[in-house]
Amino acid sequence: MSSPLETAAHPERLRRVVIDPVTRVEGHGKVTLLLDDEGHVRQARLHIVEFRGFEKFIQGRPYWELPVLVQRLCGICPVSHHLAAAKACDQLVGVDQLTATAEQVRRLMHYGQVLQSHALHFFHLASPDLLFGFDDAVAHRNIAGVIRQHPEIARQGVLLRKYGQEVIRITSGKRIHGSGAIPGGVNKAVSPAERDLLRADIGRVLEWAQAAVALIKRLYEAERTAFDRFASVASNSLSLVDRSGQLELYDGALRACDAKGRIIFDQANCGDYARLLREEVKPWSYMKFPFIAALGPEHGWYRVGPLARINNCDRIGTPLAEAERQDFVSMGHGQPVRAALATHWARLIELLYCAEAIERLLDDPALSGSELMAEGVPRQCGIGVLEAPRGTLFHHYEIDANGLVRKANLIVSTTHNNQVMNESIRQVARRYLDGRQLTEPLLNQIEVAIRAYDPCLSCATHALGQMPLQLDLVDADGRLEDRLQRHADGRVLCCDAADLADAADLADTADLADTAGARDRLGAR
Amino acid sequence: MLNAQAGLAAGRPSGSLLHCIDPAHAAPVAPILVFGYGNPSRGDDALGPLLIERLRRLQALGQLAGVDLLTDFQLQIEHLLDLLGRERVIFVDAALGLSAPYRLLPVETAQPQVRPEAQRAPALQVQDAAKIQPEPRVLSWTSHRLTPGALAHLFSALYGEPPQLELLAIGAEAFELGAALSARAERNLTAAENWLRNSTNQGRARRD
Repeated sequence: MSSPLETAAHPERLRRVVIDPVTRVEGHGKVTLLLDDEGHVRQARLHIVEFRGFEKFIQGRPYWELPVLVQRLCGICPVSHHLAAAKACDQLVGVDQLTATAEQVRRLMHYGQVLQSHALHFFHLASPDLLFGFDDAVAHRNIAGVIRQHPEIARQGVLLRKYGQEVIRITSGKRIHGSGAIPGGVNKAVSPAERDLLRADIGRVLEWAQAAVALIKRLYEAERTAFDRFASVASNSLSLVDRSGQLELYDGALRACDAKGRIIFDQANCGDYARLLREEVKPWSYMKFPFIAALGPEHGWYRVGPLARINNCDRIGTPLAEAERQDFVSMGHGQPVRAALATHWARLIELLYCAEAIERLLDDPALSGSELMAEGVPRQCGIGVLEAPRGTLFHHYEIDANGLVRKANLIVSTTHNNQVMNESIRQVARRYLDGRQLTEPLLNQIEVAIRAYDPCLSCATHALGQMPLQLDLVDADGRLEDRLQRHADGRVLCCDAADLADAADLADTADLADTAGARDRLGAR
Repeated sequence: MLNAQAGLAAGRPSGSLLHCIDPAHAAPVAPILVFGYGNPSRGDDALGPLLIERLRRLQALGQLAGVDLLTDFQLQIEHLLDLLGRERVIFVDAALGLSAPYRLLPVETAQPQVRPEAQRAPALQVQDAAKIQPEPRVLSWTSHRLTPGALAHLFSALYGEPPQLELLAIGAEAFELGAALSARAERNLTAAENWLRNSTNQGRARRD
C-alpha cells in the first residue's frame, strides 16, 4: 500500500526538510518532507526514531511479573500497560470473571489514569496551539505561556492531573509503577478513609472537567471552519464498546466502523484480534501499519483513540458526558466527525466521563470489599485488551508449562494510528505548505496535526528482531556506493540508488546525535 | 509527598486532597522537602532516588524531623504542587562533569526557554567552574520533563514567590540501562548523604 505523497517518484532530485524532533509529544519522532524546485510537496512521512524491543525482553520471564514489568514501557501511561497485562494474566490463571471488588478497583485505577493523561495532554501539550494560535511565537507557545496568560486554566489542568494521579496512587500503591493489579485480581481494596479522601474533591474535579469541555468547545467554535478542514481525514475507526454499544474503556468487545459510520464488525471477541487485524511493515519506519484484515491494507487502515471512541459508541453511560457527546456528534450531521482537531474535544468529553465514572464508583461499596482474588484453571494463552488514553491497547502472551513467557505481542494505541497520522500530515502538507516558503509556524501545523493524536512514540516502535536495518557502503566523499537492506519480514535485499530517500530517512533514524536542533536546518540537505 | 497521605498514615482525619493541592486549603507541611529524581534502572541516574531511600532509613530511626522526602523518575508539571508551603526545597540529581563528589547549586527562577538539545542530556550536565549554571532556564521539548528552574518559574507564575530552591548535584559517570551504581557514584552518594544530614539538622537547630 502506498498513499499519495507517501513515496516520491524521484526522491534523489528533491530538497529535503526535516522537522526533528516533533515537539510536545511523548517519545522521539520526526517528519520528513521532500519538495521540488517550486516548493511543491512530493513526499511527507512521519518517522519513529526509537525502537523498543519489549516483546523480546520479556520472553523467558515468569508471567506473574508481567503487570509490573510492562509498565516500564512508558512513563506516561504505565497504568494502561499494567492493566492490559493484568487482564491477559487473568486468563493465564484461568479467571474470566474478577470479584466485584477487584473489578471496581481496577476500573477506578483506569479512569484515574485516563483522566490524568487527558489532562496532561490537553492543558500541557495541546492547549498552547489552541489558545495562542498555530503561528504564535515559539518561545511563547508552550505551557509557560499558558500559565502566564491563563493561570486559572493552567491551574485547573495541573489539579486535574494531580487528582488522577492520586486515584492511581490509592488504587495501585504508587503514583507511578504501582502493583495494584495482579493475575486474578488486585492486592488491595480502597479503604473507607481513602475513598472519603477522593470523594471530598470529586465535586471540584467534575466542575473543572466541565469547564475543560466548555473551553474546547469555545475554542473550536471560534475557528470552526478552519478546524473542521484542518487535517480532516476520512478513516475507519476501531474501539471497544460494551454489549449495548456504550462507550467502554476497561473491558468490552471490538467494534469497527467505516468512514461513513457503517459497521464493519461489531461485538467481536478481543481474543480474535489476530484474525481481524493485520500489520504491514514499511522499510522507512520502525512503526508498523495495522489494518482491518477484511479490507486489506489500502482500505483497511483505521484510527483509534478519543475521536474513534466517541464516533463509534452509541451512547455514554454518564449523563454529563452523554449530553456533551450528543452535542459533539451533531457536528458530523449523521456521519463520524473526521477533523483531527476534534480529537481534543472528544478527549475532554472522555475526561468528563472519567470524572463522572469515578464519582459513581466512589459510592460503590464493592470498592472496599474483602474478596480480592478469583481462581481458575491455568491456561497458556492470555489476551488483554483495553482502551488506553490514546486508543485500543492489546497485550497477548503465551507461556510454557513452567509459566515462563514464550511469546508476547503488544499492539499499542499509537501504532494503530500510524497511517491516519501520516495521512493527516500529508493533508496539511498539501493544503498549507505546498508551494510556500516554509517557516517555523507553517511547519508547526504539521506538528499540530500529529499532536492531536497524542502519540506515544516510545511505546509504538517495533519489537527487537523485526526492526528494518540497512548497511550502506559510502565512498570517501560521502556518496552512496552500495546498500544491503534487511526488511522487517527478514528479507535481505540489495537496493539501488533510487531508494536513496529511504536510506537517508533510516540513517537519520539510527543517528539520534544528528537530530537535535534540526528544525533550524530547513533545507539543509 | 502528600499531606493527606501523611494524615492517613498517622491516623488523623483524612480531610481532602485539596489540602495538599489547593493553597487556599493548604494544611501545614514539613518546611524542608528533599526531592530526588532519576531512573533507578539506569546506573548512576539512580543517585537521586537512592539518596531518598537512605534518608528514609534515617527517618525510620527518628532522624531528619521536619523534612519531607519525595522521589520520582523526572520532574513534571504537577510537582510544583509539592513545593507549596515549603521554606526550602532541595532537588537531588545525578550530574556529569563534577570533580567534587557533589555541589549545591542555587536554582534560578527564570523565564523558561524551549531548547531541543536539553532532552539529549542523559543527566544534568554542569561545568565544574566557579559559576555553575545547571540549565535552570530550559523547558524540554517534550514538555513532559521539566528542569528545577522551569518548575520554579511555573510555580512563581501560578503561586508567587517560590521557596528557597537548591539543586544537590551528585557526581555521576555511567547511565547504562540495567547497570549498577558506579563505585565513584557510590562514594559520592555517601558524601552527599552526610552533607545533607548535617545541613538539614543545622537548619532545624536554627529554627528551634
